[in-house]
Amino acid sequence: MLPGRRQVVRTAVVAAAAVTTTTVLAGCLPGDDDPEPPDPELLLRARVAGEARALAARYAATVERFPAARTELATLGAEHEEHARALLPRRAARALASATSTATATATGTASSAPSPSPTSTVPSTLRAARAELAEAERVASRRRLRELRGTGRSPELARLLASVGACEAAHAALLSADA
Amino acid sequence: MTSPAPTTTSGPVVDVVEVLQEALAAEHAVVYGYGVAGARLAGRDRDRALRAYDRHRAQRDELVRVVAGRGGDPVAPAAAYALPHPVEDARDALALVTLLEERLAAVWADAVLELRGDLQQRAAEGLRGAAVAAALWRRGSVPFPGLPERAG
Repeated sequence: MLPGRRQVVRTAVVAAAAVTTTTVLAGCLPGDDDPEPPDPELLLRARVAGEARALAARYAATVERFPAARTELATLGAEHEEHARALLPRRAARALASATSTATATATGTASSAPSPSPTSTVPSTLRAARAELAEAERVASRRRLRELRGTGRSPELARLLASVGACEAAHAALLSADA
Repeated sequence: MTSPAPTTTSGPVVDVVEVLQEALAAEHAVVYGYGVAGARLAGRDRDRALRAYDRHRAQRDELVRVVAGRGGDPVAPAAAYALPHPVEDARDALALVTLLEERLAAVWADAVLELRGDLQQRAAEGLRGAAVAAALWRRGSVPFPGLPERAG
């Protein structure tokens, strides 16, 4: 039994509360006069793409703080950018923008630009601690991808993509945690 | 190929048992490959290969149970496997286990596409495990493990 479309959107909105795409969804909270909620799969893609960009920004901040680690960390960070592009190609971002007519401005802004990067000051003071923190963020993200497979409103193709993204995040965590 | 018992439930054309059999066949091959590679490795790599060997044997055994539990006749390992390249030293062995995990990741990724619910979770975990192992063997990451169409 599939939950109603409205409930799907509500779930997506609740799940998104913690991440940077909240502004995309703020205009789509289901209300009594809610005309046409956007495709739940698109909302999920937008939310995970936002998370991917946030992870990339954490890597960028860490590289800024520890330039010697650039070679390794920039590579991992770039893979999150690839995730974001795969999850939300420009075409999908435009579709999202038109679907969320009441929030068009914020939606396009969030979908096409990186979220505000975490300031360098929040990066731990040692590279060792910074790597551990990145690894933990990757683990959390990977677990979330696995849970998202259980959700509704996504195609088998998106499930496969999410599973791969989650596997990449787990691999990042393992590489960051492995002894050099 | 095998001819597993089709699921009796109505609905989608996906034959769940057949999908699981493909994963099982892949795990058989990976177990065999670790046996070959382990003999060419030493020290820490050998220990890691042994642990991976045990992990894949456990996954294989679990798949045997799941397939049988769904009325299938679990595929047996092949009598022999053609190795993708000769395995004569540690370098060959590391290349082999990396390739095996990458191929296994692709099999599990396709299973994610076909399966639903708990079995889909299991497939995603299989993909994740293979991706982690491949990354540690090659000491590097790929952005989309298990998705050959997005490689390179």
